[in-house]
Amino acid sequence: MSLSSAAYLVFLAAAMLIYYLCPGKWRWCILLATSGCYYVISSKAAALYLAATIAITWASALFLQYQHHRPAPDKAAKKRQNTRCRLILAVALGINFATLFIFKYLDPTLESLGASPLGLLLPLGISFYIFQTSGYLIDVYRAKVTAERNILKYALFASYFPQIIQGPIGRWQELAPQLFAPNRFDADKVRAGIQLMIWGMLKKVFIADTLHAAVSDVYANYTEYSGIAVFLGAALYCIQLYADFSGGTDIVRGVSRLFGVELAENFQRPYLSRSLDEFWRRWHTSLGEWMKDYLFYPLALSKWLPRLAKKLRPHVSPCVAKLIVPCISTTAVFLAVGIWQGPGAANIAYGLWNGLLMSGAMLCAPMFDRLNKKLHLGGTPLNVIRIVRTCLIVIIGRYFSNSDTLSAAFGMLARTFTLADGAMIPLTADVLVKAGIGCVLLLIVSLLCERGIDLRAKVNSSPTAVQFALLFASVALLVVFVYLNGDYTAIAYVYENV
Amino acid sequence: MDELLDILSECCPDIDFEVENTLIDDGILSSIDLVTIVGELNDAYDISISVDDLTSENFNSAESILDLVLRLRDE
Amino acid sequence: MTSKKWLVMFISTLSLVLLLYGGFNIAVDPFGVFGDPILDWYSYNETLNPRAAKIAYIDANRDEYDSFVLGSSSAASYDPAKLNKYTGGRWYNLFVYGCDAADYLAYTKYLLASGEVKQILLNLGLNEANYYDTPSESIADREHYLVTGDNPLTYSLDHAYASLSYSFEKLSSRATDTELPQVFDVFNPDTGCYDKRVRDIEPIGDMEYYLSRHSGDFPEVGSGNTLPHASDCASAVAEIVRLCEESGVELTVVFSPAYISQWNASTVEAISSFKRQIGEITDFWDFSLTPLSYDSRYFYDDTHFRNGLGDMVLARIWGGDIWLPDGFGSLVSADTLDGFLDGLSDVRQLEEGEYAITVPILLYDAAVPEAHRKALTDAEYNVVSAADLIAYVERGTSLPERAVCLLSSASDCYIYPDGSEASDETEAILRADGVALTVLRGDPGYRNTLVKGLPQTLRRLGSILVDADASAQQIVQIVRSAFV
Repeated sequence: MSLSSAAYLVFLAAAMLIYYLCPGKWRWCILLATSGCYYVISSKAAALYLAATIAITWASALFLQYQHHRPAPDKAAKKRQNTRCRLILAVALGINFATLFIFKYLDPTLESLGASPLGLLLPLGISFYIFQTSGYLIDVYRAKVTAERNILKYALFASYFPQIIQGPIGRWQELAPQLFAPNRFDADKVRAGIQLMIWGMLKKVFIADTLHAAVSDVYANYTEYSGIAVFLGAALYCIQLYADFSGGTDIVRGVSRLFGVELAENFQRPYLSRSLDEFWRRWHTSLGEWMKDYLFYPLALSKWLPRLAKKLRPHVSPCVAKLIVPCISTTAVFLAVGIWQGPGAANIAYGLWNGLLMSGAMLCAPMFDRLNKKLHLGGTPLNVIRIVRTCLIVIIGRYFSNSDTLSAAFGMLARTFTLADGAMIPLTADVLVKAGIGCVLLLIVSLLCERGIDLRAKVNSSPTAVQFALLFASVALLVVFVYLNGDYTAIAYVYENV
Repeated sequence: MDELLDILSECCPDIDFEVENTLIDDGILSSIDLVTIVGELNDAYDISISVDDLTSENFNSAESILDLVLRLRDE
Repeated sequence: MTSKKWLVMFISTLSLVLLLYGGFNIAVDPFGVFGDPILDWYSYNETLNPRAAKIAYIDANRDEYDSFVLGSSSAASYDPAKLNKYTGGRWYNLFVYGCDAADYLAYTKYLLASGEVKQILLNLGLNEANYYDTPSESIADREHYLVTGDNPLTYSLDHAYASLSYSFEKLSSRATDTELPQVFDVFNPDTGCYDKRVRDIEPIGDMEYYLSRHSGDFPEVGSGNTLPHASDCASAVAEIVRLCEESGVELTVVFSPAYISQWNASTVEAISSFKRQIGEITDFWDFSLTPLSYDSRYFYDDTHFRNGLGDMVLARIWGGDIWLPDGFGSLVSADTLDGFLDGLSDVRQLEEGEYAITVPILLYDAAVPEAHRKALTDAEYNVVSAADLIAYVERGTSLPERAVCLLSSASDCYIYPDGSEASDETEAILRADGVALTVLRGDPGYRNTLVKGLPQTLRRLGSILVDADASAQQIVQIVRSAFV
């Protein structure tokens, strides 16, 4: 069921009605039933794979929990217990990521090796629910979270329908209390949810879907476009991806709010970042947090990596020596992010681009400081330079993340840097008006939010006529361009098949 | 304490560790900063800070970091 | 504003938007399914989707009609006015472009169930054996619920909440609408036929001239088609025949005239088999391959014959006083079926001279000088009158060789500027025997060619405006050069 369809709205309305009519104790069951229906409608047979992952991770978590709480008479027994826990965790995570590998990477790998693919279809949201359940397992292992005994409750956590397709990746500690609570009907939350859904849908339709055709053509036929046009295409892709993904996240968060469940924010105006490091704290935050807690810290604080770093110490200067572990960990994390994006060398290159640049930034930080001091750069001008620089780095990264092949990405780069001749991107009046107005609005809203202005509160306290006008305009736009436009087919959300 | 402050300032010269006490909660220390500091602390005091120790209670201020270090050294 | 109030406002706003959306579509009614209350522009609605709008129109005016033409766009040139005259019925041409035999059956059932049906003219062509029961692809070719039995409420909701683009296009077309038909309003709602007023007065000239003006309309077509749905079509026709017999409807089955490239596209075996299957079910009139199938001038394009040819078909069936070439159409019944199928391809192409002639026309501002008339007769040209021209075209009365027509504003015609076409051509209206024909001053692009059976060729004849004071030799020279 597409998020842009009238059928989805009817589905939501029905679910809400049943949810709030149901006695509080059993409300979470309605959410589970809704999630189950949604997944089966959208993905049919693939629901079995989700069920399998749920069963395996639930059981493994309980097993871990049991092992943790067994009294250990002595240190040796404790050690055996720890080893056993590590083994269970390793096996469960292994199965999880093997599942992800099989569905997401096996066929492309087979193809690149010259073998014929198995024709496996990607189960909906597999990248997200594998990560979410894995995080849960690790939290149970770390005794941060008590394993859930009720498999149905756990199933709700793993399959919660608003976030299953494209995140945000949630944590048990934040989600569970909200999911299982008898959330009473809260008009404020429902209102906030609807408003967020409208905003997200407008972003997606008027910016992302409008730019999609032109951007795809640039990437598919870059040899026909001029170097500048290729760069512009990548820049427009950044805008399209942001509108699509953040719009999708807004819709998802809005939907969840309708049921009183607050999901984490995924985007905090990422293109206003002053460094690549900051960018990754503002872009797809839930993935960044997941990587930080479950990959970066364990790697950086592991036994073997610092030991490796110690070996390299004598060969480098002291300030570099400090940074060996962070650099390697960062590069590893972004390699993982690149791989997570999808199969193919281009995605790996994307990951390395980010990881190596961030490592480089770390190593060169003192040098940049000295440079800034020499040029008397500070305050706002410096920030503007940093923001522009970060945007350029991100745009170049997108040459890789949206190309089919690595050679295509390099081809595009070559054209841009040699300022090759070619066609300009044909932007029709329709596209310019829709996307242009959309982007201007988005920019204004972003700048206001960056300053900490609570726009929603301001809107909610403005005169009735203003609120009505805004509501009427946005609902009319959505009804006309999304829900009832028979000739309009919603372009698939970029991350739906991740 | 002074030794600790030296180590901390060498890792992150822009932060005033004597004053700040919401290093984690306000995001003053990034994850990379944290990891760099942990590496140095592990080396300097011959301790082993684990992932579970990376909490705001332990790292929000120089004092709490010192407490952590002393605690781990005694184990 | 409290959130509770806001939620109420949200529901109200959503309802308001939906109401306005549906209301707008209902008011503009691009498909004609809501009675087109404001614009009443069925010519547009029928062009957009004749399946919906024509049935809606019939439904609203059912009692006005008791006889119907069924067919695809090939049947567009059967004029209900002529049918009314020949048969005394009240005819409507229910052709729909892209139709097939499954549709004809459905329409027959609908017509029988909805009111009186005295006669049906069922038009078949080779295309009815190529397609059968093609599904509709979008709302723009969706069948009306009265024909399919769909739920009227869902049908109405689908149309009320169709894309607004359809309504906007109707409004913007309305802004550029003129009296004459354009691409978006090609129908004549009262009769159901295409409004061919523009095409019917175009200059026709000789074959070369006509083809050069319409080269895209007569493309190369392949060959070897085997008419895959011939038996499907035959089953549907059998059912129509049965229903008509049951209800006492007079059914006339006609194979419409085909242009030679369309005929050659299918194998003779396939065509023969198809017609045999039909012949075993019912008698039929066959006009597929006639002497005129070789002449593109009798066709608007390779799949649609001109109104003039349609008139000839009707005259052949019901006995009208207009020119028909020999061997034009035959009634095939059970006993003549075999003989007919044997001689299926034996149709001779006519010589140009048998049905077309070149005639220069000289227009005089005053009376025609006797000296000019005598000089032309001495030079062995034959002077004919406007009535002779009309008789040639309409009834095939022969004209002599080297015929010339001299027209005078004093006696034969009115010459006046034409307001509807802003140019410095002057038009003359001739009145001869109560028939008006339009004569244009000098179109140098073509030679005056009159073609039998196509009265429209009379309407746009080029002529040469001559001075009554010119010398006789000059006149003879003008006529001589017109024959070159």
